[in-house]
Amino acid sequence: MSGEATVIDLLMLILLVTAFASAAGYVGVCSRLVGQRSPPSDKAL
Amino acid sequence: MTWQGWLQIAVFAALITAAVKPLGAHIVGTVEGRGNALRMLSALENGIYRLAGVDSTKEQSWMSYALALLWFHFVGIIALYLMQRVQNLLPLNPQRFPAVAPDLALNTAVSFATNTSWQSYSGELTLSYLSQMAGITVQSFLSGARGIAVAFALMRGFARGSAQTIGNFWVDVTRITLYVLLPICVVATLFLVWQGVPQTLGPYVDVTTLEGTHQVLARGPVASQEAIKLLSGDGGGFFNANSAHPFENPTAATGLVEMLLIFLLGTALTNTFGRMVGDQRQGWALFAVMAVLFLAGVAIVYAKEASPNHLSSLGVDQLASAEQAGGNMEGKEVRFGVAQSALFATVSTASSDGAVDAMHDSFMPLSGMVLMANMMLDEVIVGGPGSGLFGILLFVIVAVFAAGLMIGRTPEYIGKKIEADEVKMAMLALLCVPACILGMSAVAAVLPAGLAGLTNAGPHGLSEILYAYTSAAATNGSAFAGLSANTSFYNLTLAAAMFVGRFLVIVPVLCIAGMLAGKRGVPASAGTLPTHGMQFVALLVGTVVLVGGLTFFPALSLGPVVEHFALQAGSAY
Repeated sequence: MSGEATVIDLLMLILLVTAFASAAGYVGVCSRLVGQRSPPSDKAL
Repeated sequence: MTWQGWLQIAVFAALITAAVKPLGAHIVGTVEGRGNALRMLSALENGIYRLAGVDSTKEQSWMSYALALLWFHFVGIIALYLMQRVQNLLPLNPQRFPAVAPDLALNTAVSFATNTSWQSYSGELTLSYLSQMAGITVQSFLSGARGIAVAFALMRGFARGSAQTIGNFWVDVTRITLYVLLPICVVATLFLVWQGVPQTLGPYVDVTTLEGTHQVLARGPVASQEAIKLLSGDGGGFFNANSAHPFENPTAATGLVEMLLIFLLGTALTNTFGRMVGDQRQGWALFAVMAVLFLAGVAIVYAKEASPNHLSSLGVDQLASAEQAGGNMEGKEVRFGVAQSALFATVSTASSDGAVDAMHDSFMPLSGMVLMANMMLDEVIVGGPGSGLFGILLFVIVAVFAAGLMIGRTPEYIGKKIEADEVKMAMLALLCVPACILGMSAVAAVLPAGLAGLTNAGPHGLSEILYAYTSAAATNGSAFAGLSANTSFYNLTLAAAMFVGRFLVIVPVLCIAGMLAGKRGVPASAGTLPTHGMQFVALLVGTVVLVGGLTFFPALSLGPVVEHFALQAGSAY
């Protein structure tokens, strides 16, 4: 892959990481909206 | 319209109805670990847990379940993205396809991991066999299993009392894949191969046609991908023409079986739900709602497509006879005709599958509107495996809440009180999809980058844009055709729509599951609203149409409705 392609790939991966970090944050937002405590006591992963 | 056409629709409906109960029982038995069927695979199941370091006896809270699901999607998307980007360096690429462009690879990765299967590419001209098998097909299995897993989490929420957990995500996905998806796909793949669908790793074939010209026939491991494409609600075809391609759908029998596969799990899960909550009538009520909405849709589409189109004003004979199918045959495969194409299109859009055996862009305006409305109703007319069930349960929560307000009682459903928090989450899930569809369509309709993809002007152009974002956000994946979507603008915005349509819905659903599981059940009393009768079915149908349908009515008025009236005045787009 060319250098330009590698940079674009990195940008795409950053985009994905940001999107999933936001989705994980959305879990916390939903939890707070319904008044539940967070984070969960058991491990997710 | 012909009686043969209606008979075809009736046979399909009867076969699906017959499969609901046995398959519903099989699903609940295997996923909940109650049945003995297929337990010979339990050694494989336990081996997977050991390999992955999963403690199958430990359950998760809704937040842990949601985070595990997000993590699994994240890994899946990254893996599929990278596989496409380096496919030129990997084996099983006899056509020597180059690496997929970054924006297209991202769109495809998100598309298949979210069970949408929107395809901005032609499979036979873009992806290697390895990308098709280890990338697309694997994600078809896993994304289907993830949807059913979320439905199980919600079912446990209704079924359990005073519980802190809603199941184990890893166990659910493993069992659904091994005991539900895999066995059906093995049988379906063998059937498709028998009917003539290719299953080979050999390169494309160069043939000499009867006219003496050379033609390259694309082939590959089609049958195995076809089976899960239909069963999982994925819909992404090996070929660009999808199920309109004779190598994906060679006979009328495969056409019927493909439609059955699309609806099989979505309908059976209603019975699974009934069994989980201990009252199968509850499941049949949900099935009845799906059936009413589906049959209304297919009747409209068949009636419109079987009627003469605007070409009749030019003196073209379009009446059905022994010599021709009649009706609007533009964009339809001549082998399947109007009735099967109308049925397939309705099945495909009512579910979240998105496979096509005819070009939806060529349907009459009001038929196209029904196909769009099927998706806009948020996957409640059968929907995808799992997503259809949790989609309709979201509407159930809204319906019992509205009914509770009308009669002045605290709403409850299957012994669980529905309170403000559940309604809050249900509305959050139900509103994010329309907001995404309408917002993104509006942006695309004014930006030059969005307008550049249109091949039709006027209201049909708006329909093309609206259909694309609806298909993406509703995780359907079918294309209206006519929109050139393989551009950076559409690849990235449609990927965003798919992301929103999947995760912004699933997380509130799991939140509701967690809240319901923690509640104690309340016994039914004289004031309890019966939720298994025709009255509730009518209430739920009304709620779906009012809440879901009217949200999009202004946008549909500007697209297909205007086009319908323009057509009556002699203007075609």
